[in-house]
Amino acid sequence: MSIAKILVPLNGSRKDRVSLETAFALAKRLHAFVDAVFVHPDVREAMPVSDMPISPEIMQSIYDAADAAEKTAAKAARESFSMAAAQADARIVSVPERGDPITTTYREETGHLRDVMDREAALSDLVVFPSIAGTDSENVRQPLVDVLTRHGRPVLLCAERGCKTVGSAVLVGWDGGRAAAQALTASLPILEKADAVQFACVRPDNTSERPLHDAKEYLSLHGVKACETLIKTPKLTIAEELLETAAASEYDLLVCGGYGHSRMMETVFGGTTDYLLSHASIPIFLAH
Amino acid sequence: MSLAKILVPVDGSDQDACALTTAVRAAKPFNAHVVALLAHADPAEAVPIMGVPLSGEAMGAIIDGNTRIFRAAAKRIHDTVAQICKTEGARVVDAPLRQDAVTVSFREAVGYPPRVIQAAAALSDMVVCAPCAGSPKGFETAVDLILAERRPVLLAAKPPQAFRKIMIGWNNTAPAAHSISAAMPFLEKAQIIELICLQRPGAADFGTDNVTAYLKAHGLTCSEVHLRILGTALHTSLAKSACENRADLLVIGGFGHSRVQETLFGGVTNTFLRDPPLPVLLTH
Repeated sequence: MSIAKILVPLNGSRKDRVSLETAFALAKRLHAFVDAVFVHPDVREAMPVSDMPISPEIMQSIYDAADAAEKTAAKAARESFSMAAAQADARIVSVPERGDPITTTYREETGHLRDVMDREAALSDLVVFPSIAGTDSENVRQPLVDVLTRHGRPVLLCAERGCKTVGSAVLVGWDGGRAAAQALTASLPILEKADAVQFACVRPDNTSERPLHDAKEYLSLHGVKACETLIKTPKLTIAEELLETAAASEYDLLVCGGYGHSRMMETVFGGTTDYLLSHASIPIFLAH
Repeated sequence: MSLAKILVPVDGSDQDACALTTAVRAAKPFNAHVVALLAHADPAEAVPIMGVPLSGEAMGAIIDGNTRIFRAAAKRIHDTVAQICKTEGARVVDAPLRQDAVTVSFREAVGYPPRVIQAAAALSDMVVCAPCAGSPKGFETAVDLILAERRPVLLAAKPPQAFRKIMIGWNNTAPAAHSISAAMPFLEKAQIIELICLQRPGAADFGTDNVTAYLKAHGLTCSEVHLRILGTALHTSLAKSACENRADLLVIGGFGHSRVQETLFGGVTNTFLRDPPLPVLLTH
């Protein structure tokens, strides 16, 4: 798979800047096109539905407030986009192009993030989501999980802070599972351009179904040399070990399979993916 | 992105040659590596478990018999691979290797074949399968590869010398979109890309702006053909269109409809899996 079209949903918050910075940093490495989309629900949905009658004046003021909020958000999103595009030397176009300098486009879509993703995710190569650190809310995570599992597209989750580079030193989490294999094949365009690629194998004895050796052989057929670090007796959970290893050696991207185990198992036993999503200290590339 | 590793499940039958030739020709523009994988059960597992225990000689005979069968299959595959490499100018190697020509290696794996093939497919760029008309097991394996492992599956049939003209069956669904991403290595090397828009009769036409924009982002342009046909005739229309236009490859989403629907009503995917009239790349 090649990564040529990166979709970045925006919502008018300050997180948009990090999403865009991360997306452009990766786009520059891959000569990819950045499709920035400001998503906002229809303003009319702000109207309350209640048993008690609400006066037309109050209805109107609720509508006006919602409308004003949406316009402020749209303006903020547009500004974040212009700034990020200028900083990345990206050309703003109406039709995507492949090449140098990279091209980008900004548009606005009305609807819920989930529905917009339903329409847009399939014809994108990667979807960038803002950091969801510090929250366990299912709702906040859901659009990301949907794109990963229902639409089968890889996802790039941003860290809380922006980064100068993405994908120059990559840590690949490997557990021999199907999701890990999907993540490896999906992230190949990034691994091919990386300066350093390292596998992190927590509990290497469990990877018999797809041994690390096979993964390294696959990469070497693509001309990518990777080293490995094996964590035989982890002191912390898998997610914590991965993030700690990433931070210790200053990697700027973590690649791993997302929701490799059934969702029910993850809900009951606390999932690796959920932990990674809420504690991402560097951008994480996930595939399912 | 380029193709670097193509998996071809083989079993020593006559179908192997078609699958291997298609794989080697697909590999050529990329100097990719082709793995011919013979997956079979452990000969010892063929011993039936019955109420009355078998004598040592009987068990031995069964195991020996099966070992001979597998060994014969392996030899046939070695010969087929050697023959094809000679004709196509590829090299036989012992282990997967990246070189300046197409390389082919043979691997024999003991285990439950579908699982062995699935695990190998996960770390391959593409799987080339022979048509499954005579082989229900091959059919199930191909289906699993498409749906569960979500690897692109190239159905081998009448392999062209080069994949110059590619037709994409487009119906505005997610599997069709995924089929285009999976076909990128081929599309990037193609000379002509044609988009066959399969509009449902009676329904509003879907636009093609989204898909042409996606192709443009990858630096590709395509021409468009619009077809309006009923579901039951879809497979025939697609096949006819592709053959009439002398396409070298047809790219479609696999199992766009539910499996139950396809099993009951005979689906486009199922029909192509059994008997592809030209090479078909299926992805879900």
